[in-house]
Amino acid sequence: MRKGQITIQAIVFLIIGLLLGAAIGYFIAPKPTGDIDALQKELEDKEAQLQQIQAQLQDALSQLENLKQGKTITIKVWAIGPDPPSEYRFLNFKLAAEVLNEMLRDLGSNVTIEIEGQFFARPIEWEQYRQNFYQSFAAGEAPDVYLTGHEDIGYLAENNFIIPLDDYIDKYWDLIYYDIFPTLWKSVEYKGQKWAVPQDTEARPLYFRKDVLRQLGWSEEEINALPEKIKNGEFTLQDLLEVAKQAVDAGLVERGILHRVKEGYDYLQFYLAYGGSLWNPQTGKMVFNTTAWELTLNWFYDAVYEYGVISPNQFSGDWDADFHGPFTEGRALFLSGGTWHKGEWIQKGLLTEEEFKEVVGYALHPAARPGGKPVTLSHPLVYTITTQAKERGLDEIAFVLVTLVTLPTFNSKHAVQSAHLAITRSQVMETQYSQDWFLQDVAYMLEYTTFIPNHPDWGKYSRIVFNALRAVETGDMTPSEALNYMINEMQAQIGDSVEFVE
Amino acid sequence: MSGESIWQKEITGEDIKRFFQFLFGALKDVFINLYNKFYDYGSQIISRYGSKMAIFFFLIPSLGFISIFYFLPFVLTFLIGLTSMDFTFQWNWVGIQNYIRIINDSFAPKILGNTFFYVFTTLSFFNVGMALVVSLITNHIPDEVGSAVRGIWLLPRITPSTVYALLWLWAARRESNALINWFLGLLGIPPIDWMLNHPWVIVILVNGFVGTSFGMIVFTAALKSIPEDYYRAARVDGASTWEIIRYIEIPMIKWPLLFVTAYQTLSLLTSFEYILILTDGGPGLYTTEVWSLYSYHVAFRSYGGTVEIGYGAALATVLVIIGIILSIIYWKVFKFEEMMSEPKIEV
Amino acid sequence: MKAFGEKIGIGLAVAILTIPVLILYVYLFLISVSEDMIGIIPTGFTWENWIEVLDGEIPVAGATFYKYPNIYQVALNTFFLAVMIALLEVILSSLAGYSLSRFKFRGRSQLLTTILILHAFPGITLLIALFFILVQIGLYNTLIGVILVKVALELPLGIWIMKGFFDGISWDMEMSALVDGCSRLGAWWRVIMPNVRNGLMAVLIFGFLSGWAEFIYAQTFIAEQSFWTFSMLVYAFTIGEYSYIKPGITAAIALLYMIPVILFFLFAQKYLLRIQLIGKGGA
Repeated sequence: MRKGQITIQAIVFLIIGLLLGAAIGYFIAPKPTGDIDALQKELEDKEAQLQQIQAQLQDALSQLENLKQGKTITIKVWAIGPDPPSEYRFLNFKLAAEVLNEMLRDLGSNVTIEIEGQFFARPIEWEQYRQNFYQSFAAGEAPDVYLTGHEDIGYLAENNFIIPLDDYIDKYWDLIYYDIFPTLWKSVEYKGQKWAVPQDTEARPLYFRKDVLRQLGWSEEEINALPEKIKNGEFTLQDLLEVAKQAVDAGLVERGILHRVKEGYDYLQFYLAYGGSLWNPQTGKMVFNTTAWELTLNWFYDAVYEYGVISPNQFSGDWDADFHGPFTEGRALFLSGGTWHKGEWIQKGLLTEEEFKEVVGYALHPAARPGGKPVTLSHPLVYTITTQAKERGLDEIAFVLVTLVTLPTFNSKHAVQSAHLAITRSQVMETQYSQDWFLQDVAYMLEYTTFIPNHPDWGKYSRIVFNALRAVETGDMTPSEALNYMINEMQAQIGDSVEFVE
Repeated sequence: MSGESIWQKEITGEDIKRFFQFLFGALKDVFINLYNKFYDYGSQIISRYGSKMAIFFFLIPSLGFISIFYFLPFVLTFLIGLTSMDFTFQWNWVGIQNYIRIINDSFAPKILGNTFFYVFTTLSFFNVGMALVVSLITNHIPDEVGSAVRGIWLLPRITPSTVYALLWLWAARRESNALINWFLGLLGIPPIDWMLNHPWVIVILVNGFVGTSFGMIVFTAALKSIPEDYYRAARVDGASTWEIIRYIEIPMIKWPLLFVTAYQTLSLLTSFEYILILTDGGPGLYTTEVWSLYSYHVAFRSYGGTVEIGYGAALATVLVIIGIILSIIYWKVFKFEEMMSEPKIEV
Repeated sequence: MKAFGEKIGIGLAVAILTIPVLILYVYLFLISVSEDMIGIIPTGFTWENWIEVLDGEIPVAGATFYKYPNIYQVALNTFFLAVMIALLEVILSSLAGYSLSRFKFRGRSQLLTTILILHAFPGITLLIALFFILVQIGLYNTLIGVILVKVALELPLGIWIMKGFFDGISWDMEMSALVDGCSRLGAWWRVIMPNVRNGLMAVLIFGFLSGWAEFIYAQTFIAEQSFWTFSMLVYAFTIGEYSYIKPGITAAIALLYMIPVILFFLFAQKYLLRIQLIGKGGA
């Protein structure tokens, strides 16, 4: 009895000691302030540019009511990768705040802007990020600036999560917004208003392994001509299956075609290639094209069960073991990915720039029929200002920060490190960006791109489609069962928001 | 942590002892002091308002907690289940539409089947089966060895769920040099992608290893209470160990068997922690999704940003009702009220 | 000869029963100190993973500045959560247990019945409603919120344990100590404490361990990385991508996380057994 007590006490104290040690360790550990300092240095080179901006901003800033009392203003920003190289989506705000603080000092204001918040990255995925946002909004702790996919705007606007930004954008139009590609503005519109500022965009190429094609007996010219052939509709989805099958049959690769392993929007490209459309701008409703969906489901079924080029469990895979790994190691021929994947491969050290040039090619997603139009999908991420920022009276300052990070100086840091595409015309000229050959190379794809609809019920549409496709791949449903499932669920859950066409 | 001077004098056992004495002494003082205040306050209340009020003083904190985080959620789960609530937290009443949707849900039959399969298999192989095996074997080997073995079976239960699931996920990786496949390789069996092709095996193994200890302890306690005479008589009659198990031990632990089965059914029916970590309901389409996990997914997870708290709550209500019914049945069947004898002396 | 055969038999039985449980922990340790593993055989010994973990900052491949939450911050969060849960549970359950054991009042047996039924009831089914409540009272995304929920869900068990221990002390004992001229504090310290100490310890340890290991509630009610606990960190690394985080690092973190558990396992098994018997079993 007595002995037992002593040992218990000993354990308790050991644990306390351990944790005290941990606590001390934490407090004496150097704080990572050096990072920001280094970045600031980089920015000093751009001083001339920034001074110009300052002159333009001066009037606007001096009008801001809450900049007149001296205090620290904290702006909360949430951004997500989920690929870690996209960290500048958040970091740029810290940099912009430094710049803004300097401007404020020059203006004689004693206000300091501080950025808090978080950059969310893998292992946190979109689901968790969005869940966190909605939950913290409900708890009154929403960030002031929230980065999200443009397709959320319908839902966010409809349910009063975010504020319309037309007035703000008009006010700062001459600063940078005049320069944003007009198509991108379309992605942030809902019910005739602009609800967000585009942050970046991308194209989703079909990557292919040149070395595998060489082994299949393709000549260098044929390989280099493939993107062009796809662009002209001479290489179709059917050809894709055939080539992938040849490579698998010849034992050159383990898998013919890889696609993403988690829920996403990439597979909509196949539906679009089959002539489907996602929404009708006239009625504002989403579109369900029965024929196109049937063909898409059949294509996936064939790919898995007739040709054996897609793994039946691709949607349950691991990002590394079933997506990045097999492709970068040459164990797969095609990969339906996004421009940012190139950034990930380089940053993670899976491929070097030289290796990438040597063995990887990229093209649009092929058309369904000869002569048809190839496709890609763009999914601009956008900065929104929450209604809670407005309640806190921070909407204007938050918007000034968003404006600053939209400047090419800041945005190109993100675009180059993470291989996303430019959002402004002048950015294309900007040195950091224009030196990146890959981004220059894929720029043409934007002519073939589509956005997904900004509809409040888009999430449900997407979830139903995903379930059906996944069920076809795993063999849980035949294509016709899956089609019926889709139609039934669409009618039951979001019947009022969807138009059915043949 | 530089400061070399600390290390110049060698620390002896005496120092450590003194340190602990000091620490413990200080803590004891604080504790006694607190208790003293407490006692003063309590007796003040008693002397001022009588012992009736004292009861409240003692009980109210706990009752408050239980009301806010137990009773209120009961009611709320049911009420939210009647709405189409999402993260805007609007009470859009939809009546029993969610329940109609459960009946028409294309995946509900599969998920229900999964749930029964999971509960039944885990229960029979591990929570009862393995528990019985461990307690019987350890009862027939020298006691100090036996209790050490039983102690080891406690480990999975007290290991944090995330760590324990991680251990198995690593052991079951698809590579040929991962633990399980490596052992199979020694036997000449080609590597298997466990999580992809046999996810249920891992899910049930993990839950089973964690769940074994409860039954093991209950059964061992029952076995230890079998009078020594029974064994002696059996041995005199020339009974083998197997016959002792079959004709003496098993019949004597019928009641604990029933208890463990009943108790663990409810616990397995509602817990989804390990499945969430191991497979998240996958691979493929709801392959290992159980009812409680489905409710969690519906209410909290969505790629496109639309979550259905209302529907999730309706799914959870089904479990809450099953939970209440089973809890009351246990209370009746296992005569919990016998444990609640009136206090011998009144205040 | 028979004795020898018996010993072999016992040894075999023990091996079969314990190796499947123990080997995984050995595996975890070996992963943390080796460069690679072939089955259970480590290749290339290294402390690198431990050094990196104890440094606190874990870098993210592919990102220049973004880092995972500091290990020490995570340790403090976990410790705070576990200690608060344990203390609150001990205080509340001994108060309630004492009154249920010592006072007679109307509704007492109904209350006991309710507590017993709640004890059997799986609180996890209330997750959605609990989330709703925390959001409404502004405790979402705080450790306090997780603590309160956890304490409430484990109170029925704690109250039941403590009531049992108070029942075990005869009133005569308490009275006679007082009559003998002990101060009431003396009576408490010498008479009551030794008798309920085991109960307090059991509740304390149970509270600490369950708080230390808490996963689902933390995962559901916490949004930001600055409040992460070990369970969330390990989970994140479990489902994360291998090329972002080395298994050795994850193993070292998992072992760090296991330290209190191992200590309790080695030195406080009798309490663990008690907790098992009265606590909720199963997965």
